[in-house]
Amino acid sequence: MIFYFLTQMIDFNVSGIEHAEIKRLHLFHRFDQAAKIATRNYNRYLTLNLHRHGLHQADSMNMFDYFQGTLDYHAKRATQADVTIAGTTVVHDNTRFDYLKAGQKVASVFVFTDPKHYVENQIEEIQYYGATGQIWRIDYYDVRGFKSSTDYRDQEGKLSRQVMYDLNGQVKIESFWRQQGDNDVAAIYQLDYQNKLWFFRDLDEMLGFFYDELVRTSDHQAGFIGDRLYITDPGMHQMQEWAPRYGYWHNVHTYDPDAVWTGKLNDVLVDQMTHADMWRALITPTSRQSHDVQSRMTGGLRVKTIPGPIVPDEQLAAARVPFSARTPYKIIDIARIHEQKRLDHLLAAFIQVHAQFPAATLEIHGYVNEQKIKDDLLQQARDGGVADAVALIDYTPDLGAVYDSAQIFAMSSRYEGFPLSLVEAASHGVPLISYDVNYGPEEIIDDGKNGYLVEKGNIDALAAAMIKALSDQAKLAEMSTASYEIAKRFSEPNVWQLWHDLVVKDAEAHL
Amino acid sequence: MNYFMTGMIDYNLAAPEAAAIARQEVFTNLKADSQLLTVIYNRFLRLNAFRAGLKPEQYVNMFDFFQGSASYNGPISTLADVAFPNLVTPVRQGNIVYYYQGADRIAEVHLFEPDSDFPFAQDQLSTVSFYDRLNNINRTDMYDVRGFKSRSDFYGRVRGQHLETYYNLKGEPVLEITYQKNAADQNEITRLMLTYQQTQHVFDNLAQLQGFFYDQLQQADTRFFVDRAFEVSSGLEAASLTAPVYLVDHDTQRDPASSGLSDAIQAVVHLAKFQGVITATLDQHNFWQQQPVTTIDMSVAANQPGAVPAVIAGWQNILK
Repeated sequence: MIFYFLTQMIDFNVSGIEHAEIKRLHLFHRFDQAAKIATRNYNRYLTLNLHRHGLHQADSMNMFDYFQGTLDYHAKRATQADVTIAGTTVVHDNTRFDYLKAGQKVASVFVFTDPKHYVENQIEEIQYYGATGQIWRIDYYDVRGFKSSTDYRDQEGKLSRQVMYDLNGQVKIESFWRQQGDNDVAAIYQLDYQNKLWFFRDLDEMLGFFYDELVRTSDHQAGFIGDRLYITDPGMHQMQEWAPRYGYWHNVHTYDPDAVWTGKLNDVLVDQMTHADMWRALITPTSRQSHDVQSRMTGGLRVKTIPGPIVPDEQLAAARVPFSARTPYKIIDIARIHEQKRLDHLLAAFIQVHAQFPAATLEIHGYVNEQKIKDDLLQQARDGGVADAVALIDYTPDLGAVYDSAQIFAMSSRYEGFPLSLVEAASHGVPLISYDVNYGPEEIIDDGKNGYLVEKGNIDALAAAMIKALSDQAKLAEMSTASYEIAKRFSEPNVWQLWHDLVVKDAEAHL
Repeated sequence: MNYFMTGMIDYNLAAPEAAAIARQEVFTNLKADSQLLTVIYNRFLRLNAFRAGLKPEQYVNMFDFFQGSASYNGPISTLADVAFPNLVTPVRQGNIVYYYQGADRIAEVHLFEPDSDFPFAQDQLSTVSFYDRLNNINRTDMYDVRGFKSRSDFYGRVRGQHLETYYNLKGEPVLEITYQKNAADQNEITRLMLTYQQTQHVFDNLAQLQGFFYDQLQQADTRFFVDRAFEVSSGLEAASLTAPVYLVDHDTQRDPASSGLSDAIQAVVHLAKFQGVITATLDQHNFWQQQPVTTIDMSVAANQPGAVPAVIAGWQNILK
């Protein structure tokens, strides 16, 4: 049997959901269970992103690659030298080659420049210009070196037609873009597949067909675990084929995270209940959330608990960092710059900490979802006189050294599913201080033992907990040791046992 | 090769093309190769030529030339080849077949009707148009009467077509013509991109493409005879001509309002390789005598005895 973990895309910087999928993929493979990450969105950088996150081509099953027949490509990479336009002269700089005919620009070839990933002058895209200077066509190249798609623009310069090619340059997918209300939408997809032309009125219909094809064509019986449910559920609900389906809730199931028993249910969950007969089960990362979701459930859908975080054996076996080797008073958080993370609380609390411990520093690692929030945080740091002690650092792929240098991991989120970073930090022996929010912190923080759970939204309490921890370095060192120990709960064998018992066996019994 | 240059062989022949066809017989008798050269796209060309009694080797069309489809004798696409597996059962009304998905019309197939004993297959595809869920037409595939998909027109968000794509016999695009708005807010061709002999060529307008086409045809023994100047003259101006060019006067090419020369005629007679205007009537002869242009008179009294031998002798003279 093979399991497909369903999501939207493996981005250059992955968020928690895809991070959890990647860890789960390694876990399944370690225990010889076939699995792939199946992504929906077109992305010609996918191979680069996979590589960046330690994945191989064979770990991935992208819908567009599947239908384009480009899942596997290891041939010549197209370079600027392959582009000849008769009667033109070429002028260029490091990234761009302009083709001029009678002094008029007719095309520009843009090339990749990172020699680690690309050959010299490997084509990234080619823009073609009309006689009026407007772009009328753009060819996009996959990072693996072949022409992958073309955008055509209409008389007004707007995207009108998008085509995706197979490796012979034949059009396999064609979509037409139109205005609907204020939005640009693909109003139809045409798929040339197995010598027939298929029509899909939206991406969800095509996604359902893709999932059906995975069931029909996989060497093994297929099962599906949806992760980014608002993207993948519409496709799963369109499927015609039977396959065991599981939905993994990485986040809170109500729109109001503080009203998990009474608040309006997420529409995705409502849809799942409507299609209850299609699902084998829903999964949440924590027993508390499973209980809460089950209490809201109608239609007989079952809810199971399997943690998202997984601590690799290598990490558990790694030499522990002596507490004395950590940077004194260094506090870290791993969080996107997003309202959900409520980083203004953390920063306000840190300002109080810094007043007590002028050597204290705060590092926040994560990509920026909202630039205004970042700007506000920087202003808040300046206003609080801690600008020199605070660093907002972009997404960091390998956080090992960050964890190993920290004395405290602090989290101020409004809500979570079960953040991987808390468990990762614990596995590196970092004491944890967090608001006691739904869901996750209570699963990894034994209050007073490897950190502190703090009343949610209480900035002063958060600051007090950090000050208390930093004031007693000996106790903090004990908390570090405790974190190492508690992280073992999420060892690979422990988590795999849950997947095996609750999902793999269940799926095999219901093929 | 001698090319008789015009725009199109129409369904019903017009006088210049009829004259050119008659001239082919003269050339054949004189053992001189000749072809009607047409520059307008027409997927009905083979039907029209069939009606005119022309064999495929008697004409060459610019689009056929670049599409590599001049000598197609392959399978004929019919309704049976239309495979839309996830659309509902087609609804047929005469020679139109509609395909729906839910309530949305997604495709519309038009079939050729029997015509002039041309060997159409049953339910042979003429056009296939595709629509989206917002009921916009996105694309129309056009089939040549010989049975293959020849061209697609693509429609933008507003105000019609923005792209034409012409295919070779493998279904690969070989020519794209794109339209954009000009300063007067009107759609006009702003780029033609041709893939020819594995190289891309870009042109600003159809005239440049025609010029390139003429350049490809030129050999040591090539002559161009212009039968419809307004269709071919701009291309001749854009070409790098090495072959001699003759203008065949069909009266209509002259500007009747001013009794002067039309712009197209002016363009032809000013070409560096222009050899002369070929006249066939006394009126033509008299007209051209007043122009600073070399005149080659085939017969100034075509209705007089001996006119035909005189014409033959005239062409023979040119071919020397």
